Amino acid sequence: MNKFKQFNPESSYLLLLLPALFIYCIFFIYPTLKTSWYSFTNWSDVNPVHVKFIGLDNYVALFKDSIYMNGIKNTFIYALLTMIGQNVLAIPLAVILNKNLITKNLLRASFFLPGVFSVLVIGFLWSFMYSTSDFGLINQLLGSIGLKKINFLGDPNLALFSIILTQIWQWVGYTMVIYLANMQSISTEYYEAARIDGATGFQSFRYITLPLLIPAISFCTVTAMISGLKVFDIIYALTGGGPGHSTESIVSLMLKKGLSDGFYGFGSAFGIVFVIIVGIITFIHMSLIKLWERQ
Amino acid sequence: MSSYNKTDAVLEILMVLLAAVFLIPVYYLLVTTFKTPSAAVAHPMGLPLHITFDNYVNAFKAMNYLRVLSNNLIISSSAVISIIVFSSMAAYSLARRMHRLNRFLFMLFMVGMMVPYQMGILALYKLVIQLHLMNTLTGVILIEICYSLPFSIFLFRSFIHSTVPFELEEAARVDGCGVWRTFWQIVFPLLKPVIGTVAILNVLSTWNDFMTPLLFLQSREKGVLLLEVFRNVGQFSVDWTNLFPMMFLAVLPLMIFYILMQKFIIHGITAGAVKG
Amino acid sequence: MKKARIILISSLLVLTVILSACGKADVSESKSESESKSNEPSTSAEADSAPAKKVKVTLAYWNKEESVKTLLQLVKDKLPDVDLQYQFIDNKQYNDIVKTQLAAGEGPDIISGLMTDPNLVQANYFEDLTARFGGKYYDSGTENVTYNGKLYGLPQASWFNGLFYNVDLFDKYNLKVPKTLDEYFQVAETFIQNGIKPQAIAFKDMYAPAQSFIALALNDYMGTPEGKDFSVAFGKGEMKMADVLEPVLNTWTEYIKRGIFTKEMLGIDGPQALDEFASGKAAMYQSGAWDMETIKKKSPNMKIDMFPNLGTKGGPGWMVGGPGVSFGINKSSEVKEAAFKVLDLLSTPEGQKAYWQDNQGGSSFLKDVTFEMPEQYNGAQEAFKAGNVIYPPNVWGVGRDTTFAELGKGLQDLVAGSKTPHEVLVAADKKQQEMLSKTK
Repeated sequence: MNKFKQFNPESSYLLLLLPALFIYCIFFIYPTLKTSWYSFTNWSDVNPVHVKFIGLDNYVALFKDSIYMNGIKNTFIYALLTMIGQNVLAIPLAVILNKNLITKNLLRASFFLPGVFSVLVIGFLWSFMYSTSDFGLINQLLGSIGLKKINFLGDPNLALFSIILTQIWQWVGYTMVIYLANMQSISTEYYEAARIDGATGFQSFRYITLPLLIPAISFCTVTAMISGLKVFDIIYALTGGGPGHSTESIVSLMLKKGLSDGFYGFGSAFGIVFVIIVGIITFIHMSLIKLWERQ
Repeated sequence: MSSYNKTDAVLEILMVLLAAVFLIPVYYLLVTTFKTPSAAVAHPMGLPLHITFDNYVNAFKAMNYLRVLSNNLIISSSAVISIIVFSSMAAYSLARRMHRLNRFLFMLFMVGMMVPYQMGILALYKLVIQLHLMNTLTGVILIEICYSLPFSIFLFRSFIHSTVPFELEEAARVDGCGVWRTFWQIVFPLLKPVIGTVAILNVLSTWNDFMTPLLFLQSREKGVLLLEVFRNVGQFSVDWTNLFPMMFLAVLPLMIFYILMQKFIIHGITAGAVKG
Repeated sequence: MKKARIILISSLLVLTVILSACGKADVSESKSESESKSNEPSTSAEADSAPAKKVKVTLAYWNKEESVKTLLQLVKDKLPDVDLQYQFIDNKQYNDIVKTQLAAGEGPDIISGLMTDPNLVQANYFEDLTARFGGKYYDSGTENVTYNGKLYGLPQASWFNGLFYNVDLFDKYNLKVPKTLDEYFQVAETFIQNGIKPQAIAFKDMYAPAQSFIALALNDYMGTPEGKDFSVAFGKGEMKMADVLEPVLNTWTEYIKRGIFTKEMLGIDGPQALDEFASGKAAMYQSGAWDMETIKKKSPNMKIDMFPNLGTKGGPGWMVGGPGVSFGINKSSEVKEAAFKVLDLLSTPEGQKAYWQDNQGGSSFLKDVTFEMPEQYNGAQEAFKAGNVIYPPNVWGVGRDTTFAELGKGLQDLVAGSKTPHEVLVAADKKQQEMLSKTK
């Protein structure tokens, strides 16, 4: 008892926190703050020494340029469609694989498998499969059943959607597993009661399963949305932003202008704007889910 | 659960077919590793006519496989163990001490989930140089730890909040246990399920991270598997199938990990399923 | 749980509870095994494994290893204490990767190419080579990599691109080598009618359409007396593409209108286009010596020749090209002496020959070294004799690579039908202005 009193527990609690906080501050907080400062300067590779404070110029330039607006639009489309695609497909998949099928474990494992692979390898693999040259697997299959070739990555109107498809394919199993977890926590009593009341399968899905899945839905949609807004690797591996600028995303443009072209100040401003966008979208997203939950 | 009936049988068949189509890309990746370009064009989906491991031997040598693989293992294992230790400690503190400072710190950690780290890449880059961590595995490990902290802390904190009974800790406290001993002896063992979840998610994310090694590891001896694949893209133009064994070798370790641990991985993410 | 202030946390929380509550004991056991399987978590990673005897020197370059294999072998034979390691980095990423490495005080010991960027030279990334190599090379080769009288790179045999053509296919359909763009279109028409792709081109790579357009622009504008000052003026921001190059670009769209360049090609990568030509599916291919080895490997018996890039008016035609890649030394290299030895070797007739061996066709800039033109380039002799070898972006200054890439992207859009010729040129002008704005 005495010993416990002698020792101040508050400082122990702080000590527990310190290693994580230390690493986090050095490698995240500090660079982030530094970036906000850069965003108001004209720092560039040509001008690395006499860095001047230029106020909001970088921000103004950003909103004036259609390439960047287009990148933001692409990113929204990408994030929304991957989020919707993954979740809309994962829920029925989870419902079915929650049934007492003989091969259910094998099936679950199969659908999850692509999620184990690196996005980069998935990108290279699909770029071979999508190719319009002779060895493009998908176009070869289309050709063998007498259909015309589809220019998956070369058609600017199609390329973004081809990218989205690979990411739905890769992550649908992962999303499904989270829904499965949630579903298995729903008591079977609800369903029995519903069956006694004469509810159809769809009705019990609509009125029991779906509302009780809200925790998983909010988790899966929010994480898919945030990672969708951050998309970079898969675009890098599949199209590099092309053809033209048609599949450029926020992060790919940010790296291109901020790093390759050497506009460090401008790139930083783009980063800050991006974080604000992600924050706002996440907030709206969460509010909508909250609204739905209340109903 | 209801018994197995006709609709289930139909569903079962449909699902197996769907899964088969779903896995075509993986199958394609595997069979193409054994083919020459002309064979791959002639029968893209067929089984290889004669299995030869020459392609693999070449890829194995070209990638400096063992060396690079050991880098991957060092990075992932050190990062994941540190993440588990640091974030569980921090989460415990944040969960049990809810005063204003800690609530602020928790929010600060949560911000990290939304910010892509590419945003601060230039500043981070400069920092890593100043700390003399450029081109070292230590640097990459520290960065991986840093960017995995928010989500891991979040998972640990929620778990401690909801399932670790405070009474146990109080009893320990009464017996004269300090905060540290209470955490390591009483709380930490109770965190097993969530440790599993955190470990799996971070093994996947650190192993598959490409940007960090690309930017912070320059020399080939310190590279990782994905960097080797990346470096060889474009190297083979005529013998394009040579890239496939490389891609396959790059995903192989995680695939073995997944196949061995498959039941555990899916359960690890779905732990708690049989609660009722 | 309800206390949580923020929606984010409250809803995520619920799920986490579900996810992580009461894991089965047996499952958790297997976890610890997987951990112990991997190595010790110490930072023993730092242990350096460099063997003491040979000095490791790295060389980064964007062409395939095959294209310098004789050179690498020569270094192996002549410099037993140097272990020259070749690092291939794909052309599309080369600048980005090496620039970030340099900014970090890292990077390969011997660097290819980047010495043409005045900003990087100004940033003091490269070793001054004047004392050891000044005056050994012709000025025409080094003017690109010389700043204020200081030499930063050693130019290798010149590079050029023209149109490779498959001689057998031309013979089969009784076709004559075209001298003007119109003749080229007629040849192309014949191939299309016979189900053969007239020209393979890698439109997925933005540099391919840009090279094609620049080649035409050289013939029809930049190489004419009227337009010969354009490139320098454009580099300074004094002239704009949109003001003068629109007629040329309109001519270039003929390729699209006649079905020679199609939207489908936007899905074709460099290696794939090369493969189409090397396997005889396409009759022509705009490229240069660096692809020769690969073509020979694929089709050892194929007869190929090259004719210059053509214009509407005829004449000797133009090759797009200039001094070859320059090799320089990284200022922060720790093995400079060994790197210098490699460059010493390169600056001998033997070293020049070794590089040339796998890039046959160009001429050396090392004084008193001459090579014979291999027969694969017979068709291009006239252009060489007329001195018609230029790579205009060399004088575009800060926009050298970036603006050229932007031009290529615009042309991709043009092929896809989402931009007009005017818009393509305006976008390239804008990029050039933007890059120039940095220096103000």
